[in-house]
Amino acid sequence: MPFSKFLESLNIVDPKRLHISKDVRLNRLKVQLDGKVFDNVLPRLPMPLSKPEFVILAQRAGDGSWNELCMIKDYRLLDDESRRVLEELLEKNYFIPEIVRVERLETSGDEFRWEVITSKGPRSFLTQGRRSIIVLGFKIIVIDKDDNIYQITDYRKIDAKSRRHLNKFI
Amino acid sequence: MLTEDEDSLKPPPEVEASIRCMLSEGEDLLYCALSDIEASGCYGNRWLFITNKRVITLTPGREVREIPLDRIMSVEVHDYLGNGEVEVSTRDGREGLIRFSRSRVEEFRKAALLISELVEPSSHLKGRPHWDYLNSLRKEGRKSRSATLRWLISYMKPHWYWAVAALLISLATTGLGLVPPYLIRLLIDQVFPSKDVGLLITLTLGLVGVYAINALLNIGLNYSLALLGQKVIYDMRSRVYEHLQRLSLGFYDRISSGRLLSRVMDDVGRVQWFLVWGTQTFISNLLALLGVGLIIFTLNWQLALFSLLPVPIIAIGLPLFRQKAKGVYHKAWRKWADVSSLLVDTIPGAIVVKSFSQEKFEVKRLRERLAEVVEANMESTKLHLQFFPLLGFATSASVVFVWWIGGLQVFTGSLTTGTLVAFVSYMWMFYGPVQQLSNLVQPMQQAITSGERVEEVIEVEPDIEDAPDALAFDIKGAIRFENVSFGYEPFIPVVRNINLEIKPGEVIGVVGPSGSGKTTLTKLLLRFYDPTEGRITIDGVDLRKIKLQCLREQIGLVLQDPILFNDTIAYNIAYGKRGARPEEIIASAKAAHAHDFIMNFPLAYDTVVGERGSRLSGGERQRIAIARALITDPRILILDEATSSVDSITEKHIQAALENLIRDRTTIIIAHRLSTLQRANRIIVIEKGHIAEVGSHEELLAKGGLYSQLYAIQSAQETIPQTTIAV
Repeated sequence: MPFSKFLESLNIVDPKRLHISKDVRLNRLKVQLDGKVFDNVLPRLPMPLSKPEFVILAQRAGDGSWNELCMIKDYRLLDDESRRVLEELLEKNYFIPEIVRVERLETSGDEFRWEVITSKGPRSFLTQGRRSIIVLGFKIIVIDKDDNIYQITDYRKIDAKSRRHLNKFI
Repeated sequence: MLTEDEDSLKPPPEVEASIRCMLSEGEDLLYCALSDIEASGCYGNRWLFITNKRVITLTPGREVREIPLDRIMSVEVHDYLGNGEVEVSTRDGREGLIRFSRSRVEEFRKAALLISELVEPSSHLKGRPHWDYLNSLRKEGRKSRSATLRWLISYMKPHWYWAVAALLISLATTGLGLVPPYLIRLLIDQVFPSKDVGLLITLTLGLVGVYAINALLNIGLNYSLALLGQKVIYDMRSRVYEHLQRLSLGFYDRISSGRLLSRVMDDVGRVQWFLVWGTQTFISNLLALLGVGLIIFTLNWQLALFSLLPVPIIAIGLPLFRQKAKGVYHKAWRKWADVSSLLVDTIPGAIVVKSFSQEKFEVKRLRERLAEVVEANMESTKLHLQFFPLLGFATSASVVFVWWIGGLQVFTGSLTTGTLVAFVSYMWMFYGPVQQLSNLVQPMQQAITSGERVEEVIEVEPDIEDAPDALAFDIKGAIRFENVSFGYEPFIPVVRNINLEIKPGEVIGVVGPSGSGKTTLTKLLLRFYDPTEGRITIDGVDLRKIKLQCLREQIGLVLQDPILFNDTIAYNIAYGKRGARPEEIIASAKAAHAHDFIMNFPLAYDTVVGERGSRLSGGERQRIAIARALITDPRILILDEATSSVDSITEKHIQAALENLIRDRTTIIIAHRLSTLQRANRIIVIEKGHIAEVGSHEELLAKGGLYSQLYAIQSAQETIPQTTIAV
């Protein structure tokens, strides 16, 4: 089968064709696509770190499998209300606080002890090994020992003192 | 030419000359190998020569034996403990041809393969391929050390200004280093007697100035040398790596990846040290030695002669000490490794130690090993104590001599106190460069050897390159093998006289026993190698006339054990198509039945797969490899044992993925499990490099040949577990 057929089967839709609102069920969405209504919908991010704007809207079947309704290449192009509702749920399902300041970063052996100010408040945590810090262009992803994830969207924009700390590994 | 070991392949000219005298008309040398065990069973050189008419064994100056090829019926290699033997069966019985130690086993296996090939009635070996190859090795020869040195220094050319700056600063610091003793001499001889405060201030400020300028110059020197070093190593590592990427797969078959890594990392590092710190240390110390030497001989030649007394101890003793110390340090390191290995065994194995009540025994063992560590460390301490106090005493004694003789000269008025003090300062400055230069000899030799090893890699030319008139076009997928033969060693064919035509969109299964040449066919199709005979065409165009990038971009390859890189899943899928859009990555993963398991990872496509994909299961890796092959939308697809290392449930997923993949593409499926070939239009059975059978599954079963035998064996194996359960 030509590759183009597989691409078509993804059902990538123009955000203007969609309207998203809260479902009666907690943490679920109601999606209107070309006038057709789907409820009990969950947003899934296939690339939450590198392409967080790419969203798959899917329903979960009773057997645990997923029925993918459609995909949106950039959810930021949705109408304001849809975007707000979607972001609210994404923020919960993909909790990746932004590190706005690095107060302290100490190393001992292969371990880093971080004291940071995040968009969600102050936080201290431990990371282990080089692989817990992923650099994607100017974005830095930090995964702590307990698998919590933090990010710095653009390390060039962080303050000088924090950058000095970050220079220990980038 | 870079090979693992070429010395045992090249006979010395006198041996070659004597063998050539024995050759009759029309007889050509094909191969030779040197054994390290003589006919008597003692270590010594014995040569094996193979011609197109006979096999000759020769111990130079002593013994020659020959067996005509037409007498040989078969050949075997026997592996014994510590040695091996090539044995031939002739009409008169079996006889040992040559013995060899385990170090030479590979050469003699090849020799045996060649003899079997030659005695085979259908053999079509032509020419003198291996001999030509050996001669090509000899012609190239080794470059001189000075040529390597020139080549190494050429890396500094693009950054010559930093090299010149470093040298000038180095000269300036050496020169400035000579000033303070002179100023001290003035202080003692002129300022103190005359109590001239003005001059005292001038000289003191002068001294401070000299030390300050020296400190600044040292900053500049270290900075420029570090920068130069980084630039040179950057250029060299990038050039070696770029060159390695250009080289064909045949090169990687000859040289192990460990050795290549060592050349890129360790050898280049040693070369950097030589180019930057080594040459600078050598030049500046040599100049310092000459400068200080000139000054002390000018100041007082008699005292200067006394100061030379410890020089032989430094110049000869230091290299000797280093040589001895190497052995002693190595011993201490080995003893410590023994302790570590005992701890690694017994601490995780505590349950075994305790259950057998062997705690006291283990403590005793550890104590014994620790005692050996203490002994080895004391040995190195003793070595230090034997040399360095002697060196210290010799240098101090010569200084004392100078004070004594110089003191007498001061009493007689032939030497001023200031000159004596300055002389002693210069003396200490003289011993430093002597020590530094003695220390340099060995690392410099090592660095030049490393340079030679790096140069060898860079000088290898790729075997496979684009022809000047190579074409790029959209492939439809018609493949034709025309009388194709090929061997990784030029004289041992792996595939022979293959003739095969595959239509666009056709699905071809390739089966055969291990080592029959199935994978070699696909490597030829990807043009990792060129056939030694015949040609392969795609859409009627010879592979050698198709641009490599165009060819490989349009052929998808899925291997048995796919190699993934230590990056995200998205990166690995998009590897064949740089800049692939997210939807393309997702679409190919869906087609490969990989999307569902990928989305179950918390970071989904952004999940890092670990080194060589270690965080994924075999089946997951395989499906990502299929997605990677699919994203380029290849016209030809090669699946090389793609499902042989996974369990049957995973195989079902992969089979489903493959269904998507092979639709509308020319597909070659190499399979061990014959059940995976149900979709094949035709099945090719390969045996010992030949096409033995061609046909559909049913046709081949009806034929009752090799395929039906393989099928029967597999069917029996698959029913065994069921039978066991039933019992």
